[in-house]
Amino acid sequence: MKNLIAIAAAFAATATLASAETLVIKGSDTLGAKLVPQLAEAFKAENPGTTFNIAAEGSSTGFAALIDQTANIGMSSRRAKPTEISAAQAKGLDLRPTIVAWDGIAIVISAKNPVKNLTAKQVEQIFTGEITDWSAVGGTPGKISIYTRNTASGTYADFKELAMSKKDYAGSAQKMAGNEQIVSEVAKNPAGIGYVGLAYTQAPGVKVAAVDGKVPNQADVRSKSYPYSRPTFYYTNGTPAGTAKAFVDFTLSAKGQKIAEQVGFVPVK
Amino acid sequence: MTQKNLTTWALACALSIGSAAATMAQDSSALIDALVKKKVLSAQEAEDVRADLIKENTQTNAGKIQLSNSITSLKLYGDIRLRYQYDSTQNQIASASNDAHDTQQSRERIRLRLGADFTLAGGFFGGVGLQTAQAADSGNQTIDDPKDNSAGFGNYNIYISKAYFGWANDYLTVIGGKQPNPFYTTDLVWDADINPVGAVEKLDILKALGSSDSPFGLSIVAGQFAFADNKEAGTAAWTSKYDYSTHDAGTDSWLFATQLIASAKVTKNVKVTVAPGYMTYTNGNVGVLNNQTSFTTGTAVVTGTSLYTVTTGTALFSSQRDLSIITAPGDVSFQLLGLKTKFLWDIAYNTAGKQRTEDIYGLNGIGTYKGHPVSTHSDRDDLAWLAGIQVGENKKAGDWSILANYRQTGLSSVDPNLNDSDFALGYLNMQGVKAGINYNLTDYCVAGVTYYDAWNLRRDLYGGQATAGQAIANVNSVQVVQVDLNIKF
Repeated sequence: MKNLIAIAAAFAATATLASAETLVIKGSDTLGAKLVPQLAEAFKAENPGTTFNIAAEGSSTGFAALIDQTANIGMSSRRAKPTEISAAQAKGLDLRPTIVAWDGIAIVISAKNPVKNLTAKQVEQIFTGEITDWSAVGGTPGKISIYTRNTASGTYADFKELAMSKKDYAGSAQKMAGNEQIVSEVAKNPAGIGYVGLAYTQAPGVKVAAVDGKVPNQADVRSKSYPYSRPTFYYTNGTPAGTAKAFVDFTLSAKGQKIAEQVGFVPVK
Repeated sequence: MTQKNLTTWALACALSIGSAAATMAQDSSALIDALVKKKVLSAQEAEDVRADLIKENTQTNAGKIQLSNSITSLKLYGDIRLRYQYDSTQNQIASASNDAHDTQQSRERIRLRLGADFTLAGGFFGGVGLQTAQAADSGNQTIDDPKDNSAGFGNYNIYISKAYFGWANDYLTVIGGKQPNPFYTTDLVWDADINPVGAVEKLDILKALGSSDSPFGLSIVAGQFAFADNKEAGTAAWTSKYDYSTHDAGTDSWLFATQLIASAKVTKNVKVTVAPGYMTYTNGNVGVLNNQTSFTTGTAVVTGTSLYTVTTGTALFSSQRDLSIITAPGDVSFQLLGLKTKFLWDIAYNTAGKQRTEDIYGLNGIGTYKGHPVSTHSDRDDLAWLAGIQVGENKKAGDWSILANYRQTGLSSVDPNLNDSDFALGYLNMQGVKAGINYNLTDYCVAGVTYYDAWNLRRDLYGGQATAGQAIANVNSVQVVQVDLNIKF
C-alpha cells in the first residue's frame, strides 16, 4: 500500500512538471539580455505550451544555478571553471557545453572621442591602469574613465584573459551590471572606455575602437583573427533532454541562428 | 561511430592519458585550437574535449588544488632535522645552584620548517615560513622538554618565521615584512636562523647602469628593521645621564644596516667577494627576547647585595645602545681538487665598544664582584673576527663538505641578540673553533656532525652584565657537539 502511494505521488509530480513546461534559463547578461529572450519568443510561437523564466545576471550565476539544480540551462559567455565543474561533479552533475553563437568583445568609446584605433598592448595598459590619460594613446588629454562588467560576468573574466594577460583591472575601474549599462555610461562620458559583446555596439553615442586595426565583424570573429573573439554557451547537466534539448536544438537551427545574427552575434555555422 | 567522432574520442583519450600531470587541460588548449584551425575538430567537438579534460583533471590530486589567479608560480618546501646535541660549559663564576662551575647537557631536538614562496604578476613576490620553536635564532624544539610542557610526548607549537612580500625589476628589489636575511654575512654577526623584520632595498648598481654581462658585481643593500617596540609616552622621567633604562624605554629600537657587495670573477673558477657594511640601532630598551643567551633590559644590578658590591653608581642598562658596528665579510671561492672551495672571513668592529662595555655592561671599574674588582674596558672587547675554509658542497647523493673556522668575539663587538647561538652557545668574550662535516646520503638527506670548542677571550672579566646580572660572558669554556640528520622536501 505504501509503495502504491509513493508511485501515485511520483506520477502526480511528473504530470505537474510536464504540464508546466517552464524552462528556467539563468546566467550570462551578454546572451540573456537580448538574444535568449528573442529566441524564447520565437520558440514559444512554435511551442505554445512552454513558458520561460530567464535571469541574466552574469555567467557565474548560471553555473551556480545549474549546480543548485534551479535552472535547466546555464547561459555563459565563458567556459566553466574547474572549480565549477568539480562542484557540479560533487553533486553528481555533468556540466556539458554547447556553443550557441560566437561573439567578439568590442572596445567601446564615446562617439566624441577622436581615437579610432588602439593596439592590443594599449588596451591592456588602459584596463590595468598603466595608461591613465587619453593623451598617451593619441586622444584628447584627460583622465580615462574605465567601465567594466562586474565579477559575476563571463565577459569580465574573458576580457581579463583575452586582453589583459590575466592581470588585474585598474583600481579605478567602475563595475557595471550589464553590457547596456556600459554603453550607456560610455555614451555619456567623452573620456569613457568599456567593452561589450558585439550585440551591444549599435547604441547611440558610442563607437567601436579598432584593435590592432581590426573592428570586430563576422568573418574576423569566426576565424578568431579579431583578438577578442570567443564562443558563447548553453551549459546543461549532461546531454540536454526534453524541453531543454528542444530549445538548444532550436537555438542551433537555421531559424535560431538567424535570430542570433540579427541580434548581433556571429552564427555557429 | 563516424570518422570525426572517432578522432575526437581518440584525442580525448590521448590527452587524458597525458593529463595525469594535472594542468593538462590548460596546456592542451593550444593543441585543441590548432586542431580546430586545421578542421580536424569542429568548435563544438573541441569544447567537448576541453570539458572532458577539465572534468578528468579535477579528479586528479593536483587538479583538486586551487590557486589564486594572481599567483604565477608557487614553490612549497620544507625540511625536518633530527639533532642530538651535547654541550659542556665551565662557568667563570659559580652560579648559586652550581658551585662546581660546570654544566653538562645532552638533548635530542627536532626542527620542522615549512615554506612557500610565490610570485605574482607585475614583479611582485612573497613568502611565508612556519617552524618549530619561537626563538629568533633557533628553530630547534627540544624533545620532551619539561620547560615547555612537551614531556611525555607532548605536542609542539608552530611559529611564523617568515611573512613578507616585495617587488623587483631587473635591478631593484624592495621587500617588506619578516624575511630572510638580505645581507652577505657569516654567523659571526648574524645567526643563520634569524629572519629580520622590516624593510629592505637592494640595488644592483651595475645592472642599473646597463651592464648585464660583466665579470663584476656591485650591489648595495639597505635594511630598516623594527627590533623592539616601546611605548613612546608615559615612561618615567630621565633621572640621570646614565639612566638609559628609563630614557630608552620610550624609544623604539630600530636596526639600520647597509652593505656594499662587490664581487669579481677573476678566472673561470675563482671569484672574490667583499661586502663592507655598517649597522647601528636607535637606542631602545628590550624587555623580553626569545633568543639563546639574549641580552635584555632586565632587573638593574643593585648595590649592596652579597654578589655584587658597588661603592658608587647604579646600573647603566639598555640592551640596544652603543652598537655602531662596521662589518667586512668576504670570501674567495675556487676549485680545489675539483671541489668547490671557499676561504671566508668576517670582521666586526664596534666603534662605540668602549661606551658599551662601560655604560651598558657596567664594567666601569667601580666596586667589586665576588671579591674581584669590577673589570674595565679592553680594546679586545670591540673587535670580532672570523677566518675559515669550506671544501665541497651538499647538493646530491654522495656529496660531502667539510668546514673549519676560528673566531674571536669581543664582549662589545657584536649584538649578542643576533650572533650565532651555537658557537659558545651565544656567549660573548669567546674565541675558538668550529669544525664540521656533512654527507649526502641521498639527494635530499644530509647527515652531519659539527663540533664547537670555545674558550674565553679575556679571563679577567668580573661584574657588570658580563658575569653578574645577565651574565652574557660568564663562561671559561664551552664545547658543543651536534649530530644532525636533515631531510629536505
